[in-house]
Amino acid sequence: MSAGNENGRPARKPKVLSEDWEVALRAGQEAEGLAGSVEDELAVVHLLRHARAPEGLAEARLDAVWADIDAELEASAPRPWWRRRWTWIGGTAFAAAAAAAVLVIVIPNAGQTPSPPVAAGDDGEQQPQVAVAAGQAAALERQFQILAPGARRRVEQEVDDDRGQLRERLIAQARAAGGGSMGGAP
Amino acid sequence: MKHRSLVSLVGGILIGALAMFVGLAQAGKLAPEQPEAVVALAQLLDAEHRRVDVLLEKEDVAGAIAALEALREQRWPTREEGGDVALQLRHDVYGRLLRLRLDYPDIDARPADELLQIADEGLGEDAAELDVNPFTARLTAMRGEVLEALDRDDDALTSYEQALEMNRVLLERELSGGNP
Repeated sequence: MSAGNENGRPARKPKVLSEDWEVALRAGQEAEGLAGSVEDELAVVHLLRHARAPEGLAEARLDAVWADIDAELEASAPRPWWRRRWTWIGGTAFAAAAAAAVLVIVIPNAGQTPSPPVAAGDDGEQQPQVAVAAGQAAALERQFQILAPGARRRVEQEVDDDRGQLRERLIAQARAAGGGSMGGAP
Repeated sequence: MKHRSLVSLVGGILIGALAMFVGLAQAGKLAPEQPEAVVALAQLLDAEHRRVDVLLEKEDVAGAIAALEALREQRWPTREEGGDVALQLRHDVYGRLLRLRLDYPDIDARPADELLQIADEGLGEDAAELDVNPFTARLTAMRGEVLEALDRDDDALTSYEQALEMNRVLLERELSGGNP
């Protein structure tokens, strides 16, 4: 039935997944004048062979497969809001509008670049003045306006105290001049 | 008996300490020797300030300046005679005058060096000894403005810094609820 080998053990039949099957099938097909198809059978053999020992894909092919998967996922999955185009466009426009509003409304003088006062020196050359800000005097005047009312009340109080002292002194003088009586009182 | 004398000793110490603190608190302020001078001055200035108010309401700046200029001619009590309050009253009047002069330079125009003379005359020699108050601070600040107009920037800065320091002290006192 089967040929023995050198050790006297019977020769093993070709396994199902052996390439011998493919060779034998192709040879039979040729012998019959290429009639019939063996592709389906070979496909099953390839599938079984791959299931037994998966063949590694080439690097480029693997990248292409993953790229296809990513593209499919990206196309099908909804984008988060922070990755949407309108979020970026709208956000940028809103930030620009807010910055402009701050500059125009909150800091009304922001558009005016303060320039240091300059004065002509003795040699006629323009020299920057010492940073004597014009706002310094205005700020001091405002502080005075805040402090003045309280100070005036205190001055009035002190004048009243002096008036009281003066009155007491005059009364004492009158008493002394009147011999210890005032207005006929004993 | 021993216990009683200890209580007396502690009481004496407390009273002495209290008197010392009161004395220190009043150290910065000089009481007037002549209260009648202060009373008379305050009455005069009260009337004059009201007159200036009316003139300014009528937009008669020239009249207001003239009224305040006239006050320069009177004899002002010294610090010994009128105490600190007399000096504060003087600084208030000179401050008001100088403010009008600086704000309306075209009315009865005076050169800057004359304005500096007004400021120095108002402050006097004893301004530094005076307890910190807003009137002296304002007049000092306006002296800085005049010095700035005279291109004496370093002196102007000194005056501004002095005024700012006074106001800083006053504002701190206000915030701490003290008596500026």
